[in-house]
Amino acid sequence: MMMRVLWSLVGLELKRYWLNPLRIVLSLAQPLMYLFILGAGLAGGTYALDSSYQAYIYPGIVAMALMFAAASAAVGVVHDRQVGVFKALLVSPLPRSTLALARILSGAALALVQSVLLLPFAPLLGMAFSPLLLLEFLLAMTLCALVFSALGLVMALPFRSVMVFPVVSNTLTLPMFLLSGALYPLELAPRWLQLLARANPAAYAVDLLRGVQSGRFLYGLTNALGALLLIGFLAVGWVVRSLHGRSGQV
Amino acid sequence: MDAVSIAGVYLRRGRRLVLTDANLRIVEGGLCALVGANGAGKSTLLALLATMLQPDRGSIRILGLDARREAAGIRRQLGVVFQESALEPRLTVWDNLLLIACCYGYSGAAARSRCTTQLAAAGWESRAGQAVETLSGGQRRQLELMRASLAEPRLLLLDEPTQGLDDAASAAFWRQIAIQRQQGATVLFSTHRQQEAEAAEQCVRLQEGQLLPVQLSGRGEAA
Repeated sequence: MMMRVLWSLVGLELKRYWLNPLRIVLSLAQPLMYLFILGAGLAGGTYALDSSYQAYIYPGIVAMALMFAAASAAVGVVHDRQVGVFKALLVSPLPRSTLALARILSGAALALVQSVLLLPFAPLLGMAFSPLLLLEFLLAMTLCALVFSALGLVMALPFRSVMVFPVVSNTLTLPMFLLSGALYPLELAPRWLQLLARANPAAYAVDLLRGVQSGRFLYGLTNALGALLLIGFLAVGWVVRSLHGRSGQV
Repeated sequence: MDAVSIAGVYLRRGRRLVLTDANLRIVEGGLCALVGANGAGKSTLLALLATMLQPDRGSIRILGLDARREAAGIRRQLGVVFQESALEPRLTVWDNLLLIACCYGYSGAAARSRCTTQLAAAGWESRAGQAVETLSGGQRRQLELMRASLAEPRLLLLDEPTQGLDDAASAAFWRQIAIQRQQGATVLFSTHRQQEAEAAEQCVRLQEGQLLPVQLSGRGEAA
């Protein structure tokens, strides 16, 4: 019963985003510019390793697309607080954990849909996905989407204004992206940057996606997976706890 | 049994003491008006009764349940219309109802059936697919009440429900409330309209943190 309620809520959440399909298409612009403009511009640089630079940054750009889309989906919570819908949800008997889960799942689904649109561009960069590799890559993307969606809610819940939150969100996600190793090999970066990256959830997402795609991990499959699961678990816990204590602050 | 029982309640919000030894009893099935100056704390009191806040001291029992320990049980029997609109403007009338039906544990055919019943009762079948942002203020208020009463609540909390409505829309709103009362719902509403307060069976004024009974001249005539 609870699962059906959960899926109904997720469906309604997604419907709100579907009302503006142009937004989903336009969200492709930024990652494609990184891949085809920045990537082409730096293709002759030193980071190509044994593949092209564009192929090298591809998993990182997918991680970026997931992270920014999840943060964008989290604006929905701020919107709901601003228009008052959140209050209506909080005075209903819906368990806070179900509400949190519905939000995380819908944010993750949205991020995943937007990022999957990047997959058809992989062959243009000389990358080939076997069916098994594609499945593994999609599973890795799903985990990253869930973690980023939960982190997006952690960032969004303290805010009431859709004017303020996107600025804050961008201020937080941009350094996460730049410190993730999406655009350069972290192993060649200065020590201080490597240390900062270790505290950055996006670095583990990039490592997982790049590792699955190329077979070369920086932190190792177990460490990347473990770190993402731990971060995701903590973020979900924080969101549920925050919703429990949020009733009077709507 | 009392639908609402507040005894010796204190509530502080920031530096301000909103309630100081507040006491109130509303019998089940009753219609109670809550009046008071702007900023007196009427919305805060309603939020307290809606289990969105917890008192610093004192006891609140709603429909026999303790508001501190049995909040989930209370919420199942509660319908709330907030002072400000709490609808998703981009979604349709139908989807706004469906969203809350899901929150009350209805899903699939049961949720659709609840929404259809509510729309039919209000004669709103033709508006089901209309986006909320295209509704007038009065229509939104009606929809809010439809949503609040979707799960057949035993207690309705209405925060200045007719604020901004003209006389006709206001009358339509109170006709819906009368239907809810016929089905046994207790209603507590805040208002600045003298006429609405006079029409209630019970009236209390929130003043300096205390709930003071107000003598009514025309008891329960309109609602």
